[in-house]
Amino acid sequence: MRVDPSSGGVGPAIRRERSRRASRGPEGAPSAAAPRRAGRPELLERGRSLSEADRGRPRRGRGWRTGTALAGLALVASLSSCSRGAGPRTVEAPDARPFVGDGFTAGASTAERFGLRAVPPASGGAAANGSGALPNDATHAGLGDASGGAPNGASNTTSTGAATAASNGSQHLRWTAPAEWTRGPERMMREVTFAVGTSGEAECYVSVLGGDGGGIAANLDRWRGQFDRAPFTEAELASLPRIDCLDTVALVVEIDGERFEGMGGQALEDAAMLGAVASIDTHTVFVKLTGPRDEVAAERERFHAFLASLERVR
Amino acid sequence: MSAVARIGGGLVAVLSSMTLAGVLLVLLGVLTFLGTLEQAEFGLYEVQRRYFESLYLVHDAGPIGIPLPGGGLVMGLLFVNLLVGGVVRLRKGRRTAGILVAHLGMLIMLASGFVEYAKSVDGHVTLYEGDERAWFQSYTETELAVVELDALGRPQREWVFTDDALAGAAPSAPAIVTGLPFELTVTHWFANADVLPKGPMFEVAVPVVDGVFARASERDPQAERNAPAAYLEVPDADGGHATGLVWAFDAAPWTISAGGVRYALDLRKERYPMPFAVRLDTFTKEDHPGTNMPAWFSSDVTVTEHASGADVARPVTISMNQPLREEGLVLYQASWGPQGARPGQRLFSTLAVVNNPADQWPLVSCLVIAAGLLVHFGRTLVRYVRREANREGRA
Repeated sequence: MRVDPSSGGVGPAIRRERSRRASRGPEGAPSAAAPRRAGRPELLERGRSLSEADRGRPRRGRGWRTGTALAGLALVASLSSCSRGAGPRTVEAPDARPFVGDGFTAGASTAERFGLRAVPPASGGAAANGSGALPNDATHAGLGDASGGAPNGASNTTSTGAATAASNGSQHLRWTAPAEWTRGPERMMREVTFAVGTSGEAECYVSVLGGDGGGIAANLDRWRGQFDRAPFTEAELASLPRIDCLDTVALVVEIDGERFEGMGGQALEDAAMLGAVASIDTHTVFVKLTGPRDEVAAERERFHAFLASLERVR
Repeated sequence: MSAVARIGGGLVAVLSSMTLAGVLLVLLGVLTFLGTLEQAEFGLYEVQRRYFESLYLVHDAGPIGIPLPGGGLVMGLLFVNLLVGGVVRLRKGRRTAGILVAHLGMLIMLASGFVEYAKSVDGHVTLYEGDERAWFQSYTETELAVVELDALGRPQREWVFTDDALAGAAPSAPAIVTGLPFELTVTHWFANADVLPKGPMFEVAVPVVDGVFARASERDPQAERNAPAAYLEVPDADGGHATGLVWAFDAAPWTISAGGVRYALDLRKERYPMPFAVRLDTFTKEDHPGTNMPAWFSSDVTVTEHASGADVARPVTISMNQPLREEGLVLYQASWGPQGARPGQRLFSTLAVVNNPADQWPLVSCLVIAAGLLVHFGRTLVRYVRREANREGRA
């Protein structure tokens, strides 16, 4: 705004300018007396909506205030609806649908459920059995150390909290292994793993789990399931051989079948298993030898010798 | 004029106002700017959920939090604003025909976003050569499946609960599931957790199940890396309850028995059945010469139609720029693995699967908007040329 020196100073000039603007009507719109450009109707006028301009209606002055109030109401409503109160809540089950997936290993023990990597192995086991995990699942795979450190999960050879304390013993057990067996790398949730036989497909390992390890009968049934065989009946369970082991009585099972499928999805044709389960105080010991049928049969004597050598660490 | 009519008229005036449109567009710009910045820290999935799919949010600006309307609210209001102000109340005629069409195009764009948000699902199917699958699973969403097993441990049917229904469960606010053949209570829910063995030298505040427990972890910005975990309680045979731990990355589900029937409780990525099966016949990867960088990879698959009942199989090649469109699903060649595989090592192929009913709507929207603007500005140009010609004629 320029000030004419002859107009009487800045103050009167401002008052004149205010008066001039006021004469233009509300919000600076041209007054009714202001000439409009002929032949070019304004599609939109300042401060007026498109629809109002088209309908020639006067602008409603409280529009913006109403809009603000509405926005506030919506905000409050959304806040209140999204807040989840404390206390129990009920979730209604939807209708059942046919199973979606490729199947899985039912009845796995807690150790096996959390002791294996979730990444599909190169052999395609995990992907084939339906876990379908992404390669980057490896960031979570495996268990960390017992001190509560970050999960390791680099491979199945990661040591667990029950790390072996000596070459012929662990936190819970001592043993004398047959000379023919070769001790393998440490595996999660296993006290020890041995490679047995000559084919490289047979192994024997020991797990010690808290409590009953998810149920002794459930584990034995799951072992049968790995050979695609029905669970033990009560009569079969009652007639299982029992041997002295770890200052208690251990159940011994022998299972064979045309096909064995391990936890990682690896399959073995014409396979067999020797297994033993013993309860010691607050833990349960599982010893399992799997492999080709003929190799397992050849290891039966050494397996029992190994069972007999087991001792508890007190 | 009655009060109702007055309020209604005011409401329509507000919702159709250009001022509201301007404010909403500015807010969208602000949300886009802040969301883009936050993406570096929280990742795409989380930012999309917080900033663009929400009704409101509080933006963390250092010492203070700034409350903002979420993208869902803003876009919803913008849709109403465009519909009421730009279509319904717009004077219809030759002069506004182009604008009307452009507004309709914008409405289609907003509607496509909503349909994609509400209806689309995406995920992947990962196959080794020889594998066949008729379902795909989400990258990010988790579900708890209660699977009924037969006597041989084979899955029969399942009840599925999304993580939205169970998230937030805690001992003080458990989620009690009803409608199952047995009682099920979710006592703890972790959006991301590790499962660790409980050692003798420390205590934990959560149940220890057979020597292991779940420890909450910070959410990973890469949402697909998060591994939710939950503690579940079911009645046991002694009249008490058994506690189980399920984890999205565990190797097998928790198996229980109830009423003489075995059930598997499986926390897993959400699964969606496909109306056809895909079998990977051959995966082909060609590297740039002298490097391990893939120049080209594609999957030769066999698609078997189950929906028709005829089980018709046909071969299809899915490559990076050649997706398979089938029965409303689009399968893209997404990736392969394992990373760093040695020459000759068996590879798997990952196909991204998208089911989006509004797949082509953005294209339609852009075409409609372009047509509308073409009409409007074309008419303006013609008018200008005529006016100039008349002016020259008068001169």
